[in-house]
Amino acid sequence: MKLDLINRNLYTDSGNFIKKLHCPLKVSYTQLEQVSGDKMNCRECRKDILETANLEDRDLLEIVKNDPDKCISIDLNQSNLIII
Amino acid sequence: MNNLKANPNALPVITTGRSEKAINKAAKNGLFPLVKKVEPSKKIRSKYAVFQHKITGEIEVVGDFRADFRDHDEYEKVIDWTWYYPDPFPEPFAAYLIPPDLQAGDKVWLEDLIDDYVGSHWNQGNTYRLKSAEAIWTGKDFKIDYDALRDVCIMVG
Repeated sequence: MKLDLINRNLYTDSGNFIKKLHCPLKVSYTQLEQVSGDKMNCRECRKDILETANLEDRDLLEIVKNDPDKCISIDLNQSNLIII
Repeated sequence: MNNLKANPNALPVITTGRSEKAINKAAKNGLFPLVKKVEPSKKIRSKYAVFQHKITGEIEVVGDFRADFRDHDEYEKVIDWTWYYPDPFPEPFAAYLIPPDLQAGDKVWLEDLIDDYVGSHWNQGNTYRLKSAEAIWTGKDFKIDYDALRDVCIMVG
């Protein structure tokens, strides 16, 4: 996946738009609780947050297509991420 | 740039040799050089643009998009915004200098990280490499303690 750090738009490696990373509560990592291996929960709004480090682009695209408000987390150091 | 305070837990410090001479000097003094490639990460980047005065020819190098509001009657942008790797090292190799008494499981402070990690970022797209970090010596290599970094490097939304 590719992340545009300036506008926080996330794309697949082939350039398909996935979603814009936006949290109205400006939640940070320390406000998340680990629920399971790839899932966290937000202490502020109680939504589940999906970690993306081990996700394939097509899987993430499908998840967001089914739930456009799905919250995700991206670690800038994760190996499947390109910064653009 | 480093978001962590220098050695906050006062751990033993592991230094890094960045040249053949420095590495060999350490080896002669009883330290074991754990040699690694220096491989710049594409995730570490800064940007610049160059403006040139149309009459005097003098240039001004800027790194902040807000500086783009320059008087274009007087200046011409001769190099548009360009990303580059900002931390070139003198040699393509380096070595952590391991003291002979270091034991597997020891926690240390790597004062000059060889690997590139994003340590922080700016909303104009710049990212900055982590300069130092805590790590655990496994007996063969160091395992970087990344937890302290997560709050600045994980984006949620």
